[in-house]
Amino acid sequence: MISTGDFSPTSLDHSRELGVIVTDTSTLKAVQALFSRDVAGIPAQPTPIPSPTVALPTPAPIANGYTPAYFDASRDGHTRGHHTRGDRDTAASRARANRNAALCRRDTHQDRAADPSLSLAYTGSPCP
Amino acid sequence: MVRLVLEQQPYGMGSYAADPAYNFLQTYVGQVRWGGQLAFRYTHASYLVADGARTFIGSMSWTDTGLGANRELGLIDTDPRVASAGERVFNADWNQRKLHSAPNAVVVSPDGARARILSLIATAHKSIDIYTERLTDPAIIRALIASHDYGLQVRVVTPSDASLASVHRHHLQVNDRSPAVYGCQSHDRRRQDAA
Repeated sequence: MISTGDFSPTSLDHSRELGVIVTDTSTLKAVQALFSRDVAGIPAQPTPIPSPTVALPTPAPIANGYTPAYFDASRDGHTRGHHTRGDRDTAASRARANRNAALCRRDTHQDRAADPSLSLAYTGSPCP
Repeated sequence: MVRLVLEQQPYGMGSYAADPAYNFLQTYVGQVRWGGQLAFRYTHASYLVADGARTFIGSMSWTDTGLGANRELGLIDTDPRVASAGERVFNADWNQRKLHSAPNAVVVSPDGARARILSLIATAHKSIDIYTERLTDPAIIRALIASHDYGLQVRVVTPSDASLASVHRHHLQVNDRSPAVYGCQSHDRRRQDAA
């Protein structure tokens, strides 16, 4: 079974999760091979995050008054096994937006690659 | 047509975590709704149905960590029954309606997943291999212990201290040292302690 859930009461009783039971032999072999590597402690190669390449239209200002330069996906606070707390107030959000805007003005892919928290950029838009 | 259901307060955090994604997607996609008001608390499902025909179901959140650092597993399924079942669940959640009966083609929480998992464990003959972030459900732990006692090989890869405590107590084989489990503080701390 491959599923979005885990084996906890929260997941099984209180969350929307979806899974599928797999019987395809080739898929099962691939999963078994991966599992065996992990059990044996063979290091995995993390998938590199590609540089943003899709140009999006100019973003409209959103409700809190600034035009976002980036959607900061890794600030969802979710790290595996532990959940960190993100910014709780608008001031922190604005500070982050200002930092993102500054990075947008520098506007090089190297800058973005150097900061893994920046994952999705409005490459076609003017900086705020 | 692109529609998305998002969790507003992932794992009990405030909406500050999800609001930027919601605003971003509402700007560019338009059809975005918060999930989980009636039959369940959290929208943790990460799946996608394309053209009503192809389905992606994966354990990962669609974040840098989920897609680039954690050990996660997903499947692209071309079975139209799975796509149809996924759309049925999606439409129920999109319209804030309860799912009165879970479709058989998929395993759905909180609508019968535990029974399906227990059935899968009960029908295993030789071995059970598990990746999971958390293994704390008493019924599932009891079923794994019973399988282990019956002679099946049971292996678990988990980064969770709570899971480790549960399975260690019952002598199931656990790998808590896998370098594939990135981003886990308990794992890193354990490695540091060992060093």
